[in-house]
Amino acid sequence: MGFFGKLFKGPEIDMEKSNANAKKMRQLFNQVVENGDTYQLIFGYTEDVAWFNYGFVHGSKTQIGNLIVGWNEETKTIVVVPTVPDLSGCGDPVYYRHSEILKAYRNKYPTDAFIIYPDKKAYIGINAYDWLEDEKLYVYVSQEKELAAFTEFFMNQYATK
Amino acid sequence: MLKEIGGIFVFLLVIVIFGNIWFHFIESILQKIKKIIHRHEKPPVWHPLPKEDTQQDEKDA
Repeated sequence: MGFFGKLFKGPEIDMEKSNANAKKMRQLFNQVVENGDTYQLIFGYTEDVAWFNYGFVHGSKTQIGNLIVGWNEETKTIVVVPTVPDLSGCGDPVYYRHSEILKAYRNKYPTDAFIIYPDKKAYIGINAYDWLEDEKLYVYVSQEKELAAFTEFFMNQYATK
Repeated sequence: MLKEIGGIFVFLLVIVIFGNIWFHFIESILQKIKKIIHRHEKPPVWHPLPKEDTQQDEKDA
């Protein structure tokens, strides 16, 4: 392939790095979730947009929260584990059992996110993509098949409308 | 003419720099206030990736 071919091909995924991160995601998940191997995993993230007005300076700040998202088709449960882009650790898991949630649906605007309302007061919006290049903000992992499987599970078995 | 363009450029640059300094100044004050308010709250539990696994991954790489 010539220079221009490589130029127009776009960025290539480093599969070694992606596989190493997928392994780390599994280790972290299994460390905090009982019977973790019964869950399939994808990487997702939340976006928290806050508007500020400091006098003559005003605008918006976006905070990204990285997540390891696990789902079990038999129990219809989604488990969300907060983590960081380098996967050096993770927080406590949060369980969203289909029988206990208020509602779940896939948002279309402003982002194509998976929305879960555990109750009336709170919600979580999970964004997920095949691959995100920015390693400083997101976990570097290629997950085309996994995302397709999660989308199918969410739309056909988990969503409430 | 060039002097005027240069003057406008410098003026805009000063506004941008001052805006940035102002933003970070207010942010730092708000962070300190938040720390004072939440000082009695326990920090969220954090589970680090086991060190052996991390070292093994580095060796593999």
